[in-house]
Amino acid sequence: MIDGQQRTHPDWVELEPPRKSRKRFSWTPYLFIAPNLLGFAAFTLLPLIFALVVSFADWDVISGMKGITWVGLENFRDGFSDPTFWKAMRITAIYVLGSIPLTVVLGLLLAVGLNGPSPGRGILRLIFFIPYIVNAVAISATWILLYHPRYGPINAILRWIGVDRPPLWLASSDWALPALIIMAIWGGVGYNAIIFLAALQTLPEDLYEASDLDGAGVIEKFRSITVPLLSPTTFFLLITGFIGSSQSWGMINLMTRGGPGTSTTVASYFIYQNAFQYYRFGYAAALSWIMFAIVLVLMLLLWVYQRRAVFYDS
Amino acid sequence: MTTFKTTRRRLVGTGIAGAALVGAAKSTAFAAPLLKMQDGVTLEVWGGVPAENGPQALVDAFTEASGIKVNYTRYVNDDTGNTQLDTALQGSTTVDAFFTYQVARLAQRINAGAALDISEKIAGDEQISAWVAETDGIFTIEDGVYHSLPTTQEMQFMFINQKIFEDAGIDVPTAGWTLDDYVGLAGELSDGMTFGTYAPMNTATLTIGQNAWYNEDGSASNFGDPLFAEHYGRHRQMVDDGIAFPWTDVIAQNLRAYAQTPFLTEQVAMWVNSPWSLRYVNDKEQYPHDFVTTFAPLPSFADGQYNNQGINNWMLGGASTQYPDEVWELIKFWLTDGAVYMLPAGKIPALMTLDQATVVDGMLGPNADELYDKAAFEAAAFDPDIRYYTDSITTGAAEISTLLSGLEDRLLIGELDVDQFISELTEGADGIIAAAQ
Repeated sequence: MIDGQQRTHPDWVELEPPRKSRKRFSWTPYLFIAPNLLGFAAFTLLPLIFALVVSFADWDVISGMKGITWVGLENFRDGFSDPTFWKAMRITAIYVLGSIPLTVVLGLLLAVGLNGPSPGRGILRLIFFIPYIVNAVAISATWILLYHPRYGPINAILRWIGVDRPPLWLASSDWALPALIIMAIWGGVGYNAIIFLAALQTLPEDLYEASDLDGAGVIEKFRSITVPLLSPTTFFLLITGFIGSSQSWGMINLMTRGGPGTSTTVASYFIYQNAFQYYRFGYAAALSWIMFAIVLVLMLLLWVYQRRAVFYDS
Repeated sequence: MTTFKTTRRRLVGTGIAGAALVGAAKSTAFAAPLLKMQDGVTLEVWGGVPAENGPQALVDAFTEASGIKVNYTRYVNDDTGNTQLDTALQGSTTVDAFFTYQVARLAQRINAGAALDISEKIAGDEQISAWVAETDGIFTIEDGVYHSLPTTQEMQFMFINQKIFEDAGIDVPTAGWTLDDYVGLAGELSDGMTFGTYAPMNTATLTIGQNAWYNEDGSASNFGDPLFAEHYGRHRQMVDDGIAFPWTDVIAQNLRAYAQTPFLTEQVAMWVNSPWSLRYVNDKEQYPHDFVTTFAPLPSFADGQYNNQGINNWMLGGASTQYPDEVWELIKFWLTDGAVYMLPAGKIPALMTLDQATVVDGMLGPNADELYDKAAFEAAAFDPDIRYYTDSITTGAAEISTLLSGLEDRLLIGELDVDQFISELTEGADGIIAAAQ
């Protein structure tokens, strides 16, 4: 570079001599994120810290802060040895494993079905997405009617096709959990399909064209191209589904309140009972942290596994 | 262990008896001008009854009489609502007075120091102290120390669909009918579509009365008492025979707490319930029906008299209130002159300063002639055979309640037999009590 040209050429900008890198501090970006940060601190971080603190105490809320009695690790010891909690964890595992994988698979199939050109595609997408956006109370009321053992349309159909003693659904310890799993799948398929549809738009056409030239069929293309290329999306839906489903509480509270017996008492509901019905907030907090630790470990294992199973472009 | 002793074991007088007891002092706290209160005071009051069902009219009347303003906040009497109230009692919001509807929560709140000690106020009021002295079942944590007073009587009696009885050509039962009569009638009135009764009354708790779930010293459960097996066996048999409402429907439709729909849609002929359910019968818009609701006292069993955990809607002052005098005036008003405003909500006053006709008219509403058999209601609601009590032991009560309702579901849908039910209930409840002690 010629020094003189740099100064005299009209298009060239006069450059400042290099200065020591010294960023000027500004509050502006912090002000932009402040509302979110404050909300996060007030409604997430502080409650988390408080729940951790309370998990080492015996506390019933009503006695106020002065009523906190420190018990060390007793709540955690009780939790690990509480058969009802572990039964609730087993029910949670059945609920999660029964609903999420099937929801993802059906969501994928639905997305593939809705991806091609077909009449009324937009309407169909909307219909399948509706369960995701409808109020949970309305959904519960509808399913309570559908599942009614004597008058429900589901059992009416089952009787019509020759099932003499159709399930009692929510009124049976054997069928209440499967009934909730069916509801969860119905509620989640549309959301999964929409996410998969968005991912399908990004898949490179040239791979499909090349496979056409090689004579690959529809199933072969789906198995060898679509599924691997969608694996990041699948992983995302699985992991968020597992976490969300393990925290299920609202629908269970509305539909079964953990019953009949304890057949649908998932861990979240058991924790809720301890906190809000029995006023054992310290114990409930400890159970929450135990559950968090278990879910975290399982998700980390899934994360490790995805390094081998998930296909990324790069 | 959370054990509380009531100071008296004598039973609370019924409405008529209560009226007689305070007859000389009949009404009222506000016949004379109120004590001079602080100017500009506004009391914050939390209760579970919707404001429009009576509390708002009551506090408006109180403000007019006393000059003390009141903000009434309705909290939903469920787990979440009660937690909101508990949080408010910790100081997040001012609570000068509040209501509690379960004895276990009452004990917990008083024991935690959330309630105002009103013992001196009671002692200084001739009318209230006379009533408290003669009324058993008023909750205390130690002799002579009062933090709460019950404002209503909530006894059980039989709601009866008169039309179903008439169509079947059967006379409506009256006082003196027996448990066998009841079961027999339920059978006669059932036809596969209509069920004779929703569910039988719990003869075990009605017979035993106070602390029915616990043994004498509260160290273990009492579900081994044969009365429990007898009651639950009877209920199971009635469900199996198709003469009590199917429990599968109760679970499937979440009818446990509010079962007015089967009665008001004529699916059941007899329904054991309490006066607060009258509001559903009164509400013809939401529950249209064209039959007359008549009533009967509970059928007789045991020694003819029966126990009813029927004084409720406990009113307390907040421990941190700055206006204890004003709060006491409000409590007095709620118990006396204000009680008339709570009648439309189905609240029979605990302290009967109103005459019985006023109570009946206020509760049955302006359409009483069309909707009810008034004479039958009076006979049922003011049954002299009712004896009142309040539990004094509440160890693990919420957990036992959850255990009991879960096992009861399984019994009544046929997943457990009575022996299994009693065995699991006893074992579970004993474990809960032991862990809580």
